[in-house]
Amino acid sequence: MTDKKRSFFDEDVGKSFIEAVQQTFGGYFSEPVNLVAPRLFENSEVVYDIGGLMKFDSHEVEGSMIVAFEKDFLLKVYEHMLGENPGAITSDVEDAVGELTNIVYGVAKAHLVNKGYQFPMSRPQISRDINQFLVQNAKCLELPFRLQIGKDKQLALLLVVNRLKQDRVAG
Amino acid sequence: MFDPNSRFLVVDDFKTMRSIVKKVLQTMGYTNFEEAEDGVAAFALIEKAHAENRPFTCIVSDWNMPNMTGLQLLVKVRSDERFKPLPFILVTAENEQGQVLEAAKAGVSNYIVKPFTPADFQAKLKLVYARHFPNKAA
Repeated sequence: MTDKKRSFFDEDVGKSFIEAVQQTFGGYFSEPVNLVAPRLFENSEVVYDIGGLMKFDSHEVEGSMIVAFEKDFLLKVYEHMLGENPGAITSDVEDAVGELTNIVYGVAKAHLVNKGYQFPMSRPQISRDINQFLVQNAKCLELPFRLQIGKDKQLALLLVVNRLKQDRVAG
Repeated sequence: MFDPNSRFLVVDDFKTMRSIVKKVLQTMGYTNFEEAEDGVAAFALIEKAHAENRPFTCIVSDWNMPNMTGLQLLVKVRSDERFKPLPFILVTAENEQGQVLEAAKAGVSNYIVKPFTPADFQAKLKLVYARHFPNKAA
């Protein structure tokens, strides 16, 4: 058995969440979802129109995952899912953000649990003010994604660490 | 395949997913469905439909829901003699080995992993029909 320190930004965790985003949104558009220019920051803000947050308090970390959207891109996703574009972020679109966040978290969680990590079931919170989710002094990894359609700031995964816990021992 | 007049109960705490499932069912020619936001509401609808002699033909339920999860609903359905043979599909994004085993032990008819395509859903529905009605499916 080998002692192995793992943090929230470890390769396994980051990779699982990135793949979950790519699998979820790539499926809707049948095109690659490319990760562009990740950014690690503290005490800074992001500019997206809406996001869904999943908090977790796992063995390794107390933190959260946010799936953040630019409005026009989100409406395109909604149209792909439900065949209509409401033209604005309505309560139905907010519901879709919740479901998409749920899917991304669920896909990543399944990969990680199958690798021995422990992630609890969680329910998404939706907000149009994503920065309220970015707790002061929390470390945040912004992972923007780009598809061929739309603008630069379409979609991002934000991994936020509030507190690292004791190191996990992996066999 | 299920009769066009079949009654489906679609259970999910997110309206979006309920709409997607209904849309797929509609493209398959089904128009008779009801919705519930969690297992508690779903079980009440199952009992009510049974009492009114218009039982559901198939349940399509999300796993991760507040109040009563899809798995808890499945267990409740399978432990009630009135509803035991009811086709029951669980939908989840959390394709964990442990969960799959748990659902299989509880008697799930089949399992759909999100995100899914309409073709995935239709294929699973056919499998469920074949499992529950092997003589008719042949």
